[in-house]
Formats: sequence, C-alpha cells, structure tokens
Amino acid sequence: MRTPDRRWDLAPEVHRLVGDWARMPQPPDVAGLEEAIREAYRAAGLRPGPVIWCRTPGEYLAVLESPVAHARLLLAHRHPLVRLRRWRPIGIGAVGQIVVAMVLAVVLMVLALSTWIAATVLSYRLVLAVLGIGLGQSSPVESGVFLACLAGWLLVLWRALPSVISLARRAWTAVARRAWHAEVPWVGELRRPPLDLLPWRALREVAVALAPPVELGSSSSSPGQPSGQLAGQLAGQLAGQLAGQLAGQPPDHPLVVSARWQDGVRHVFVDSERVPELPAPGQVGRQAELFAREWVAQHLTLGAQAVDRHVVEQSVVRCYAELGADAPTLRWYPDPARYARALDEVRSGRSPWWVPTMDQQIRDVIRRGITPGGRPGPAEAQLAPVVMAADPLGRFLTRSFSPVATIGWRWRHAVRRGALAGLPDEPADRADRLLTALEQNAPVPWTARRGLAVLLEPPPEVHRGELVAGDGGTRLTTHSLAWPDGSWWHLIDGVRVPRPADSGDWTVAEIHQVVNSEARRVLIEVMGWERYLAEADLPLLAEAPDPANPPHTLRLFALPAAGWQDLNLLVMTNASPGLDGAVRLFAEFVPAGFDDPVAAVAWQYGVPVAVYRTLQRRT
Amino acid sequence: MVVAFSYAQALELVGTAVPGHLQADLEVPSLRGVQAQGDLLVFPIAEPDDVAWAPVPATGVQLIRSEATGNTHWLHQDQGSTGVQWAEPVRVPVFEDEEPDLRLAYVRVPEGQGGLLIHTEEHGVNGIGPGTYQVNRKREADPESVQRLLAD
Repeated sequence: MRTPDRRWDLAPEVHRLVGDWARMPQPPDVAGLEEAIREAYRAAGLRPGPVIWCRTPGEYLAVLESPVAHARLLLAHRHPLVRLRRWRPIGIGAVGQIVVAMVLAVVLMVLALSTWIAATVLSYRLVLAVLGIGLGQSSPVESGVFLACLAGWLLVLWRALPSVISLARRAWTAVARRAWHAEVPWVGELRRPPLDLLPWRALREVAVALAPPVELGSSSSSPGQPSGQLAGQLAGQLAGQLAGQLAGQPPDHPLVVSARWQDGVRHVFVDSERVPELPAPGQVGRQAELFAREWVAQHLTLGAQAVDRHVVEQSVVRCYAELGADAPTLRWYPDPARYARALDEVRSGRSPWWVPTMDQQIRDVIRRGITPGGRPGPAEAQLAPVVMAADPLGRFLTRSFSPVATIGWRWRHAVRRGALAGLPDEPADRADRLLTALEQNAPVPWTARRGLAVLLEPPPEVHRGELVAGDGGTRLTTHSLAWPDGSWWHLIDGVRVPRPADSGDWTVAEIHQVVNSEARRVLIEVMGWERYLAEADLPLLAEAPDPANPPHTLRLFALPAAGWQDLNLLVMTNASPGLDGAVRLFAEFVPAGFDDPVAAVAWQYGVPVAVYRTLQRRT
Repeated sequence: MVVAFSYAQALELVGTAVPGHLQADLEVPSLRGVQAQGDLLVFPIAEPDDVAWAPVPATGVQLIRSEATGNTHWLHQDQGSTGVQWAEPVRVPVFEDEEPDLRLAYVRVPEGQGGLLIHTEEHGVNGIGPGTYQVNRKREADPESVQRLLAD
C-alpha cells in the first residue's frame, strides 16, 4: 500500500530556495555548504557521509521521491550500502571482448607457467597452500601460508560476491528501500540555519543536495545584486513588462529569476514562484473569500461593535511607529469587492506598494541575518514578522478556529529561526502586542504593507448568527452581511455559502456543486454526516472493528462524487455519548491510499498502526 | 498505593460537574497502555531524550483548549500523586511540505502513582498508570490540501 505520509511536495521548496539564491550577494559556495552539511551531521552525533549533488531539480526530486532513483544515485556515487563498486558491467563491445579474452588467456598461461616453476623449484604443497587448498601441508610454514592465503581468498570473495549479487535489480532496490526507510528519523532534524538556503535532505548515510544552477540571472535591484549574466535579458523580456507597471517602484519589487541547470534546461521564477510566463493578476474572488472568513472569525471573538475610524487609524499608525516603520498611507474601502481588488493590485504588482509576500519577507530577513555582512537593520528585522502576523489569513488561522494551523506554525518557526540566526526575540513580542492592540482597537479587516495599510469598512447591516451545538461540534448559524454595493454575503463558520443554511434543506447534489471545498464541507456538516452518508451513497472501501470501541466499526469511503479524489472519508462512532446522551457518528478526511481504516486512524494520531491496535480505552 | 479519584472527584479538579448522562461514582481505570481521549492519544514510550521535565502542579496543566467549543484537555495528578511530571516536546521547524509535529506533551508517572487526563465535556477522564508516555494530537487531511490539527 502506498503510505500517504510520504507524499512530499518538494517542488515549492526548491523554487523558494532558487529565488533566495538569486538574491544572495554571491553565488552559493558549494564547498561551504558541503562543510555545513557535514557539520550538521556531526552536531547530531552522526558520522557525515558523502554529499551527493544532484544536477537538476528534477533529479533531486526524483531521488527523494522514488526509491529506485535513489538507489541509482547511490550506485552512481559508490555508496557503501550498495556493494557494487568493482564489478560494474561495462559495455565493451565485440572487439573489447576479444581483447579481454586474449588478455585472460595470457594471464592464465603465465599463471600455469609460474605454478609449474614453483612446483618444480619449491614444492607442490606450498603451491596448494597459496591457492588456499589445504591438502598435505606438513610443516608449520606451509600451514601458516595456507591459513593466511585462505583468509585472503575469502576476503576477496567477500568483496566480490555481494557485488555480483547486487547486479540483480531486485537486490539493489531492496537495499535502496532499506536506506529509504532508514532515512525517516533524520529528515528535519539536521536543519541548520545556513542550510536553509539549500534544497537538501539528510539521509542516514548520505546527504542529497541540489547543486546550484550553472547560470543564475535576476532582475532584482535590491541590495546584493547578483552577477548573473541574464539580468539584462530578463529585464527586457519579463521584468521589463512589470517594471513598466511599477513606475516609481519601491526597492522590493517582484524578483524575476532565471536559472539554467546543468542539463541546459532553464526555469523562470517570479518572486520564488516558478512561472511559465508572467503572472496574471490575482483572483478577486479568492481574496474576497479569504477576507470574509477572516472578518467573521473576528466577529465571532469580538462581537459586532461600532468601529470608530479615527481610533482604528490611530492604532494602525501607532503600530507602524512602534516598529520603527514610516507611517503608512491609509485607504478605506466600503465593500469587499473593492477591498479585494485593492489587495489584488497590491499583491500582483500593479500598485506602487507592491512588496513580496510575507513568507518571502521573513526569508529575506533570516537570510540577511545569516549572510555575512548582511545583517538586517532593526526596522527590517521587525517589520517582516509583523506583516506576516497582520495578514488576514494568518491571523484568522492563528487566532481563530485553528490555533496552530500551518501558517501559525510558519510564523512561529520563522521567528524561532530568526532567533537561531542571532536575531533578537523582540519581533515576536512586539508582533504579539501589536496584534492584541489591534484586535482590541481595530476590529476591521486590514492588510499591512510597507507604506500602505488597506482597510475595509464594516458592512452597515449585519445579521449575526448564533452559536449552536450540532453535528461535528458547536457551530455558527448563517451570518449574513449586506454591503453598500447591494451584495449579500452568507457565511457559516466564516465560510461563504451560496444561501443561508435555514433557507430550506440542502440536497446532496446541490452541495456537490459548490465549488469551494471548505464550503462543501461546512454544508455537509450542517446537513449532518449521518444524513449525508445515507443520501450520498458513497462507495464503501473498507470496514473494520474500532479498537476499544465495541461494537462499533470504522468505515472508509471514497468521495469521488463530492469531488475529492485525493481524500477518503473515515466514519467513526464517538466513544462518548454527547450531552444529550446520543452516540454520534462523525467523519473526518484522511488521505486516499489506505485500505485499512485502523491504519487511517493511526495516521491521524501519528503512530504506527501496531500501536493503535493495542488501544485499551477510548473515551 | 494511592486511592484513585472517582470520575466526579476528578472533574471537580477542573471545576466541572459530571454531565448528567454519565455516571458520577464510576472509578477511573488507571491504565499503562494506549488510550484515546477524543482527539488526543496517550501511548507508552521509552524515556525521551532532551526534555525538561516539570512537576504537574496541583492545579493541573492545560494541554489543549478547543477554540471553537472552549473545551479543554487537562493533565492532573491523581489523588496524592505529587510525583507526576510532564514535559513539552522540543520542537524543530516544520514547514508546509513536511509532516506536522503531532506531539503535545510527555508524561511521566512514578510507580504507585497516577495521572489523570480530564476533558471538560463528554470525553470525561482517563487514568494514566505508572510509566512514561507521549501525548499526540490528531490530524485530518484537509480538502484545501493543508493538514489540519484537531482539538475537540
């Protein structure tokens, strides 16, 4: 069975890091990075093995994602795990074979001649002893020679035999699998700050890294202009178009990078995102959706209250001042469509306030912190994490429904990595204080950019939902907002849905037509998983007894009808009755690929299935 | 040997009354094996390296609180079990494309004592027998392709 845990999407990492390389004052120093990798191994108490440099991102990704490619690479680099070091098959052709046969014949003749001479001049017993044949040796000298030679021959066989065995493809893929599985505990544990600039993975006995491109060009005008030969060409071809839109651009304009790898293939990145061509302007609908979730999340925790624009503006300006940044221009927008359009313009580079994404900013700060001679100024070091934290989605995720969701992690870890790199810890404290102050004083959606704060006026008419207990936990009933442009927004749990939940029953077909998968999920929960399962008639993949929860079972369903190909649905029965005494079904998503529902639950808790099978009690 | 708290006594530790549908005087079984309490899993492990153990105070440790419902999983000493310790895992940076760190805490219960994992709502109380344990939280695959951590 395919193990879903192993599905890594490494491409984004490679792209980000290539973008970072382009911003470095000098091209990455391969020898220095290799030493840093060895240092990381030593720091982890491991003996550093060889560093294998992959020539292209494709090779790097293939090596890490496929055991076979992995094994091939180990083989090519004579890794000790694969004992195919001396007996590699060589394509020598017909002439070569004749030559080899002649050489072998000559060698055999010389051997035979020398044996005959030795047997005549010395003794045949000694010859046998040298050949490792223990027949008739009588003197201690002959016995000693025999034993020493026998050991020598065994050593030769030991070296040669596994090589011959390893010629079988099956054998070396088995070896590779062993290496592949052995690698698990080390991933992530050997990260050290300088190596954050390098796509690499630490395996148990070998490190795999992506060699920098042979040619790196960038259109950046930020400090540390790279010396890539392509900068000029790119300025004309790609960045030139952006530059036209960005008349009077600030220093942080989009970074267009071109990298040529050792196989001659060229990749283009805009702000660390790999692009086939120039990025299209962002999707207004997507931004507006994010906004809506964020806004309702705020109202869930804060309650609707009248917003004093003056207080909000003061708070925002004070936050910038506290962080040593220049006071921003403040722009208010009356409805989400216009707010989203403004955000889109800011983010897609059509606004003079365009700055890189928050993630990129943090990486920049960290990179400067660890690049000799490039230490960040206080304002730069402090602004970047704050911008991250002030991002509506980031705040939504960190402060609302999902307190330690991914972006929250990224933010905290970025700060921690900043601390690792010797940056002061204050940005985190300040960002926390800033957020708290803003949530108290400025309960409006807003987005901070260097020199610009975009704010949305609250809707004039709000029909607040109520918190009600229901299937899948407590949830908010429909929250409806009316905007000055005449549009209405209906939201459940902060997710925009086509119509209010109480405007008539939802049908399975209607839910499946909803494009946004989060909204589909919310609507299924409103409908109730039990009813949904009864009506949707999902294909049952597997069923197994629920450990420590008899007589209930775990069921695994496929979800093609709902449009989730990569997910399966795990349906469980709560072991504890709810407050009303009823025992409820609940359903959660797991990656597709499990054929045993118990293995899917074990995946959920991050334990081996054998551990989960020993479950003694579930409440 | 300590006298274990009953369910009602354990819930009093966190200021919660026994939900009406559950039996108050039920004794909480103290187990050394794998136990699940809603979205948390407690399972025995070998002694972890490099963790800073701290005593579990009499007032308990709030392991995780659900933002949506306000319900909390608390770690407490069982009656007279002052030797119960806990530790927060040392975390390493985790990025979007990596496996999330599901570890929530480590718990160490000396021989003859007991720990309690208490949920303020329907999941009730789980008794943790002597041993060293890891507490993991649960995750779910997300339709938006980001793994979500769960807190009930």
